[in-house]
Amino acid sequence: MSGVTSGGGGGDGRMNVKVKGQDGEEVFFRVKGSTRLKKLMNAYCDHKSMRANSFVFLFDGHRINGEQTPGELEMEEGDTIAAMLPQTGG
Amino acid sequence: MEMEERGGARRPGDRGRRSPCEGAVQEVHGRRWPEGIQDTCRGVVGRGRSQCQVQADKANAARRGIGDAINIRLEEASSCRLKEDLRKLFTPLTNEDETLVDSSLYGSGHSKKILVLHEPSNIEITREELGCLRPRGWLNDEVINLYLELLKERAKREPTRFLKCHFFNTFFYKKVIWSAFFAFYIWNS
Repeated sequence: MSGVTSGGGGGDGRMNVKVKGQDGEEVFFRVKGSTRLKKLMNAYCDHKSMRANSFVFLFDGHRINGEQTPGELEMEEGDTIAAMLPQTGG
Repeated sequence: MEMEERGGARRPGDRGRRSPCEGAVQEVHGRRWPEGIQDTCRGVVGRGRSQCQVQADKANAARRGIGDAINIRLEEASSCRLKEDLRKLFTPLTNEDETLVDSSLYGSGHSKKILVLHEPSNIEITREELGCLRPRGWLNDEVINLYLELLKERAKREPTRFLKCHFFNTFFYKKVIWSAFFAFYIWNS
């Protein structure tokens, strides 16, 4: 899981971002600006013991694509990513 | 005295000269007019009513006529525009489109195959997700959000034709409600 580690802090272009679930629970990740967010998303799904792609990740209300990086999205230290469950209606 | 006569202020002796009709008018109006004024008023009103009525009728008729014409024209215009708009908005599918729709909805293939990626919103529609648009399927967030994105783009592309709107995506409500709920819960625990 290079590039994505739970907890910690420090420099060298890494930043701490938190993923906030629908239940309000926050999980902290330390990511490099150039890491594809797919890694973070999979790590979060693992943490929640869910299948990959079982959450929708939103940053500032926009859906995150796994191929994007925190640098592309201009994420900053302490930013929050929302993890939402997919919605199915009738 | 001169004032009284000209102004028609009531003189006690004049009361007897009034006709019952005048009295009735005065009773109906519920106020006592000086007779001179009463007469002139009646005259003006009586004369004026017929002339004014005719003029008003004419004016009304003219207005109604014009109004009707305007209404009809507006109705015609709006119905024409509506028809035109509907035709523009709902372009009939060509045979090729029909084939594409059929193959996307009912065709065989890997269910996880991404049929379309909408780059600005990062929404990927796989065959499995598109399947919810089949009859009696349940819609999901992806197709709804993608459709909202398309509406957004359309409004941006043709600002003169479509209203400028803001679209929240389907997660907004959930997010707000849950955030509010947990803020409340934490606050009170």
